[in-house]
Amino acid sequence: MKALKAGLGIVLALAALGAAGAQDRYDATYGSEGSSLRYFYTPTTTDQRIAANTQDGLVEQDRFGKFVPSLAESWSANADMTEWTFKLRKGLPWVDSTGQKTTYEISADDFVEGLRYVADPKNGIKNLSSDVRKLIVGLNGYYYDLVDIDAGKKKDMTRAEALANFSKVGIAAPDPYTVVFKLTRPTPYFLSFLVMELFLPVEKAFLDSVGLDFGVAKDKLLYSGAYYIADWQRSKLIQLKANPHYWDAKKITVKTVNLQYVVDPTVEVAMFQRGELSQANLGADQVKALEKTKWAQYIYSDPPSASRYSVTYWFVQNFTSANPEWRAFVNNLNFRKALYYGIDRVKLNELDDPYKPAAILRNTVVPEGQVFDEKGVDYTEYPGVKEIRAAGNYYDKQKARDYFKKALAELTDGKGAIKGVSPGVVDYKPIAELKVDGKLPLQFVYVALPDAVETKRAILLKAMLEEAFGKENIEVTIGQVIDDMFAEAVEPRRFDLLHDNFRFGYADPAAQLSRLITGGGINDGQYSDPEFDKLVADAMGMTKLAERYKTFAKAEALFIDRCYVLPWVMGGTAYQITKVVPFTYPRGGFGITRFKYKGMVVEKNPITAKRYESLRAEFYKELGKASAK
Amino acid sequence: MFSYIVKRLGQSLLTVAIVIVSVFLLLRLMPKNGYFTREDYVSLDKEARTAYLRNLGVLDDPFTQFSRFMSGLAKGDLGRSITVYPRSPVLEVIRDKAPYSLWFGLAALALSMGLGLGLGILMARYKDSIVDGLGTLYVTIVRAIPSLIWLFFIQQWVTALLGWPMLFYEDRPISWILPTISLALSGIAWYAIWLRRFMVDEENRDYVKFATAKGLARGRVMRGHILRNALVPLVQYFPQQVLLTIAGSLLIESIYSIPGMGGLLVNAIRQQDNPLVQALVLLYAVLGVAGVFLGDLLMALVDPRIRLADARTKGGEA
Amino acid sequence: MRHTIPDVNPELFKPARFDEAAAELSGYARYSYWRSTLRTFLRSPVSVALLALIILLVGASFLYPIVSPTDPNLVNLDTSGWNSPPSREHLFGTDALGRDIWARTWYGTRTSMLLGLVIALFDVGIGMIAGALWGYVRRLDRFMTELYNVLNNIPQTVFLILLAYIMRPGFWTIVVALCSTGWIGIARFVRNKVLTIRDAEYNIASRCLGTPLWRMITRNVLPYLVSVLIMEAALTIPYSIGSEVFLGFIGLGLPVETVSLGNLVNQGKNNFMLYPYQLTWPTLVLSAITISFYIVGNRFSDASDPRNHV
Repeated sequence: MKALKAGLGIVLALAALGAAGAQDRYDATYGSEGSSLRYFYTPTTTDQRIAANTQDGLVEQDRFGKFVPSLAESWSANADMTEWTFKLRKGLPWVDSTGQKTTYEISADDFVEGLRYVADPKNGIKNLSSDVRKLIVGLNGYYYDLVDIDAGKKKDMTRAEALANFSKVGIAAPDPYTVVFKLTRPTPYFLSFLVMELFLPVEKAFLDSVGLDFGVAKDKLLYSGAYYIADWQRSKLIQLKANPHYWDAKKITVKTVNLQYVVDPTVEVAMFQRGELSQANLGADQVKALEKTKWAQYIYSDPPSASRYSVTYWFVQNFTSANPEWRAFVNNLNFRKALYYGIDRVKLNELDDPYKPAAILRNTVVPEGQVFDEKGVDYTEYPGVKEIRAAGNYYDKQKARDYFKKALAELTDGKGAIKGVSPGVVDYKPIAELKVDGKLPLQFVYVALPDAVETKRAILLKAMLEEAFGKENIEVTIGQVIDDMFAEAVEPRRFDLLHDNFRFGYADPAAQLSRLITGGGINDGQYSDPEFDKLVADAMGMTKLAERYKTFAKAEALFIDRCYVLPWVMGGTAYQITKVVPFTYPRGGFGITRFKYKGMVVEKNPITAKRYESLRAEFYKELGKASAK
Repeated sequence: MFSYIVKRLGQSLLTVAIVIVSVFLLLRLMPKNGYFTREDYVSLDKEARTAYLRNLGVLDDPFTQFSRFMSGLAKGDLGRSITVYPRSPVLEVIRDKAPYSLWFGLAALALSMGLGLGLGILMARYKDSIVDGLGTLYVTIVRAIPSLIWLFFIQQWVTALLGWPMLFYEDRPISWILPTISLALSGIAWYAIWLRRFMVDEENRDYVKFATAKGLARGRVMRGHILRNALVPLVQYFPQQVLLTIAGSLLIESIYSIPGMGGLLVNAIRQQDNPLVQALVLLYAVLGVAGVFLGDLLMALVDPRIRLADARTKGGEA
Repeated sequence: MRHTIPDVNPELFKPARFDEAAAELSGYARYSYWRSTLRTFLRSPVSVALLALIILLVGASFLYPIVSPTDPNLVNLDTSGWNSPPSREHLFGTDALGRDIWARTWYGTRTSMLLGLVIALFDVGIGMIAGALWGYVRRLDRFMTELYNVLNNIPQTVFLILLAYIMRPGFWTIVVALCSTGWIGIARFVRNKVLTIRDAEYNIASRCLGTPLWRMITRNVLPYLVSVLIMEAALTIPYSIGSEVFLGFIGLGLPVETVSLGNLVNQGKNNFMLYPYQLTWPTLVLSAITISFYIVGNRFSDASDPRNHV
């Protein structure tokens, strides 16, 4: 009887503990295989998640997306924001894969070594973008010296000499706890670069001792972050355990993170239902499947917390197409406006999100909620851009038809022949081949990826456009690439229309706009507008944020008004069913620190959608207060 | 026999060599754009991309690459993966993954032979009876319904019904059962259907009629004559089946999240991980060729009528 | 012990006159292999029923596009018409874009049957000839074995991905892709069967009599292989329908607007939990086809064995 009582007591105690909430374990899945543990090179979100939680950088983003101290305790910049100085926390050890302290201390040198590792082309860190190389003094030159030496093009210098020149690159450690960056131009948004994996530290002595094996296994690297990798099995399992020597250990509520490799989303949901997971991501199909079950109350979507929120999708039109019919039309503003108003973007979204397809529309190329001026005003609230954003779903079939009529009047002779276009064959092989006759209907090739949803989307878009403008006026041919839109369609110019998506790299409108100018890195349509180019160039020279954003906003408004690209949607929906309390963990639009589990609270039961709504209201109230400060 | 084996060995080496060289050359025909993502094209100019490729070693001329591969091979070093698991030694990757595929494969093979041959015998012995009908039904269903569909049902429903885990866990033997059965299902059908076919073919042979006429019991005829002869054409696939279990199953391993070799080759090809592809092709070619060789030997052993070499000494022609 | 010869009627020992007409009758002249095969096959009602089913399905799938005005690719721009369950208007319901599944099933059946038959024809045709030669002509053995080993060990994916870069997606691309390696498997199977038949007494006899090689292969060897080949052909059809989906993944599939059973089943599978009918109906048709082919093939191959004829 006594034993029974004692047993009952234990059970009750355990139950009480469970009901109280916080779990110290987080179980989730990953679908894209992590490739290696070399945290400087993170091609998949799995890699990024691991890197963010096992390594710390100088700064990180908190639950409001604000940049807060991480391994750096404090920082300052000079007046024109070209020199940034970071002060490190003292006495923090590197930890090994058993969670033991090593003799190495995290010091300023480790950050210099990190960048040195990244900057050597031999190490194949291909995410070192030209944006970053050109930002830090001397980095681009250093990188290209090495590239040229390796290619045998540069003979007046040995590799060793070139490597020695790293001392001239704009990163230095004047003392063990100070890191100084020198930049090529005023950069008020520099902190948004530092949350990238490229600026993580590495311990040189350890790196030298493992050589090429750096990061091929969990014991072939050291940890500076909140967790260390306790177990790592290829295509199976990643287990993280809390680092007991972490500087911010009290904020780490989840002590064990278990990530299992699961490819099929249906299995993921079933595992969640059986209590094997703390969180499951849902596609539109799964949401629908759970609609009338008891699980429906737990489903909600929070786009800004999606990992691809700051990605923008837009339609690219080929202004220099080899297809003479399309070329004639696309260079006509009225035709582009007809497309702008004639593509029913909401309907296209229904294939991903049948519930709130309009909620994920994006009308601008620069995402909202990522760029703020000194007063905390969002860039997308600036005049010009603000109106475009406020237009919401601007689809209007009648308007589109009117514009199309105007275009026809300008481009055809009234009897169905397109002016100045002679018959010919358009060779987009192996994607498509067209015989154009210089007469209506206007024939063009829409290129799509071959997966199921994109195939459906292409068929829908074709039906939509042919219905809006009439089959006698327009005829869409669907072409498909194998898997690489850029290499198969964009670069060889084998398309008339396609959609593509672009990540927003750092906290400044230039991240998108500066590469959309004539000859810009993502000007895939090959249009050219001197007025837009000039506005962007002007804005780039300004350091006062309000002024800078005002000019950028003007440029973007003009860019969208002239329909050089047709913005469409933000990156992905984020339906989920989860035991993680929303808004307890970091967020943000770029870099990797937003993937941290720091502060994350996992409860025993799933969060209801209702609870999410109230937490959301609370969060945005708090956020407003935080940015007003 | 000995000289025959030596000759066949030489021949097998030649085959492996041809396979390696052809795959090697085919890989060099692949376009290079598989190495970059959309973002890479934006952030890296042509020179930087070239530098990246050069450091992967894929820009060297084919001969240099080939001799590098061969000299590494001579030292027992298969190189390092370049894109799938950047910088991980290929040997380590294979060592991590192969055991899973091997054990599951062998278990499934044993199961499918045991059940498949049994079923085949029953079906042939009681031809046109209810057993035969049910067996045919099973075989037909396994073959006719796309495997994706029934594999999916097994995972979803059977695990829910029995309360078993949906994925494979190394430390929970109960989670090993469904993947093994799933792997064996089509093997059972394969063995059953072909054994039945060959036994039925064999049953009409004159020697069988003779044996029956002589008054031999039906069981004896079945075991001693029909079964033995019907097994001959099946036996030669056996070594290859055993050896190639190491290649794993793409579908089943991904469904149950078994970290085996299943998707590795396809992944490596799609990501153009040349060192990994070459190593895997080498491994599979050696095992495949060895399997065929052993299969032929085995067939000669069980069927005296087959003479593999033009031996001067007359074989045991009955 | 001595035997005594009983009295025998000497009448019985009269020399017979050679009757040419009777001699003709007693031979196998009236025996036709194919006719007997067919007769044996038709004796089973199951086979006949299934054969009728095949003819019905094939016939319907080829007739439907001519008879029906429904466009299988007609997208419904009104989203309320998407994923609608079976109704009088849409017998099998509609898919994720509001396209009529009933129409798509018939169009798909036509495409897939055609694909399967063409591939089976090429695979079995080439495989049979190559395999018979391989087994029969000893000099070829070494070369063919080598070719088999090489082809068998080069991963098909490498080859197919390369093909995808060269060829445009289309019907004949799939045929080429699947036949380029499919025939050798059949050839090997045939070869093994031939190996066991090659040295049979009647073949040795034939060889001694100087029968030409070609005649020996077609008359002495192939009839034995017919049963195996029919089975192979029956299995190639479902296999090629399945492969078509895989080929689609690596960019070698059919053009997006061509309907096939492969992509119908694949699309249906993605939505199975939600809209079971999208998978059920095409799968039923697919299964009906493969099962009938398989059983008919099996029965026919039983019937094709001459010893089952009497």
